[in-house]
Amino acid sequence: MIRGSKLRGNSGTAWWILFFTGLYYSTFVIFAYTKYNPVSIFKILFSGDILKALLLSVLSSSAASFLAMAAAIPAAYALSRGTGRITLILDTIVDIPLVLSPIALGALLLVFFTGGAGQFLKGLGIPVVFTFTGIVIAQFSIVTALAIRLLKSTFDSIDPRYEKIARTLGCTERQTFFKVVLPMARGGIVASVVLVWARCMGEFGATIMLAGAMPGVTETLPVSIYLSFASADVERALAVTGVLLLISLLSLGAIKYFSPGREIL
Amino acid sequence: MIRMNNVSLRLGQFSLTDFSLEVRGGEYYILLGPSGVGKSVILETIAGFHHVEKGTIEIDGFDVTRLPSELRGLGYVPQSDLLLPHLNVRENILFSAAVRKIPFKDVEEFFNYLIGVLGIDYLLDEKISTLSGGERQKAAIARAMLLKPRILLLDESLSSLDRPIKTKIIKALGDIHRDTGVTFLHVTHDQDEAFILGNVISLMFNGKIEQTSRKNGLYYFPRTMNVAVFTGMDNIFTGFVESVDNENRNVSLRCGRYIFTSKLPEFLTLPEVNRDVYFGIRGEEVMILRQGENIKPLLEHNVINGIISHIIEKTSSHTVFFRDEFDEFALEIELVNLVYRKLNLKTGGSIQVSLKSSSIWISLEDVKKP
Repeated sequence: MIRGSKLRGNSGTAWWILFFTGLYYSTFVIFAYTKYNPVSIFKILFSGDILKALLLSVLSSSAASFLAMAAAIPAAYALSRGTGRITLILDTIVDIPLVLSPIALGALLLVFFTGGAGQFLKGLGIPVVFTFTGIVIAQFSIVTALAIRLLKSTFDSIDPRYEKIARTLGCTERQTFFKVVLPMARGGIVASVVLVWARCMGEFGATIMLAGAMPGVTETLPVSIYLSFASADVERALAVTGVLLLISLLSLGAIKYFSPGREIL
Repeated sequence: MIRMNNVSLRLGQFSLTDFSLEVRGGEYYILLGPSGVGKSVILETIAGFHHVEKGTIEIDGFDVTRLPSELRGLGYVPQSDLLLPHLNVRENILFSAAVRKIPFKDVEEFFNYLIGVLGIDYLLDEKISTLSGGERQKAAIARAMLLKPRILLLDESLSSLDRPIKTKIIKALGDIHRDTGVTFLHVTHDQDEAFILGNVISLMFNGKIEQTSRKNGLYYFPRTMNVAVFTGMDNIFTGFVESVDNENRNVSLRCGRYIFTSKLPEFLTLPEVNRDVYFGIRGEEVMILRQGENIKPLLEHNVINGIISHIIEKTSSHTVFFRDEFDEFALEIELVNLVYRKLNLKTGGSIQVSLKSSSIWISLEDVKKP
């Protein structure tokens, strides 16, 4: 009886801490959108330059997410099934972008692409610095690590014995991956795509270093917020922030809707 | 046919050294033993899940040691079914045909046979998540058997099932084995499962096969103490071999004040004279003689008088604890309820027992000095 009460007490305290944490984040949003005129913010939303920034963000995020998933699915699978010291070292290396400041990674990218590699790509007609390609590369560099981490936990949750049984049923290694592993990882892959895409949409640090903040050219939504504040246009900044908030909410809602009961992170 | 020749491999803390095994074509071979002795590793090695450091594995005369699992021509049924959750039951069973692009019409007849014998025809369109443990395991057996593999490996496949379901699947497995002639190698720790299904049974301890016997030879004539204890030999004693009659295969054993005669079957090696041995008899082989009854010749050698010290009532039998009249020799006697009721036994009552000479087992293992 005493034990039960204590458990309820602890659980109740935790619930209140959760409530105030939720309230803490909500306060900023409520404060911002009540301090400024919501009607004029809403009108700004449909201005041409914001729609252009939205389109640029959607296109670059989609391209970067596609590339990131294409790299992360095999890489995460190899990490999940691999053993030994080299796998451990690679596991640590691909985690670095998760903890490194994005602006630091962006700085490294800028140095790299202003060097020989950038000149080579420019010679091939693919300039990177201060271009759309630069945005995609910056976003790709940031989110691939996240995608690998998310997908590794998905692959870890699939018992490798399924793959062994599939081999006895006639599957080659490749068929096992496509007919057994990928279908079983479908839920985790969908959740990862959504999270990775949403993270790309919000990417700022590495993007501004590699692609710059050129209005109308490399102006993604986060860059647009930065440029709005730089010109003291708070209402415009809040309009763009609203778009990003909505995208975040829809993404998280989609994950929770499509993956009931799943732990995403 | 499966042949493992001096196979060695290492898996973390576990290692298998110079392990050999031969399963003849069409046999239902049981690898029996307690948990953790390496039975499953052997099956997994045959299936190609582990790298063999030394030795060879042959299936039907072909060396498959370095072949990937998909080219070994085998079926594998694990302990937990591992049916693919994104496919329904039909798709799971037909998975191997789909992978190899074999049209349904080519496997239809055997598919229908399998779902019929396993009784899963009503489940074909069900999702895996809706199946019971027994249904899952039946589907896993059908999936592994669909393309009539050269050998079927069953790894504790029935261990997690309730007895009534297990009995049904045991019957189905027996039918499939008889009807197809496929070689079955089945790993289990369940003696009932082993003795019902196996033509040949090997008992394994610590990465080594301790004894191989046809049918229940393992049960009645264990060669080592490990085997005797594992198979639940109730009465084990030490005795001294006084004489051996090679012609009639009779062995005289002294145990305290008693001289027992054991008549060993042809397939067992006779012990040497003048040595200590372990010998014993299963509880259900001990005969209780009724007062005034004429003793048959087979029973007359090993008769002891004593009293019943205790009786334990179980569901289908009674265990009667017997002590001889000098309080020097004790036996556990297993009686089915019908026999127990007929004999009208009571604790403290005097009885006469006989240890049938053909039921006395002798181990050739050296007796450990206390």
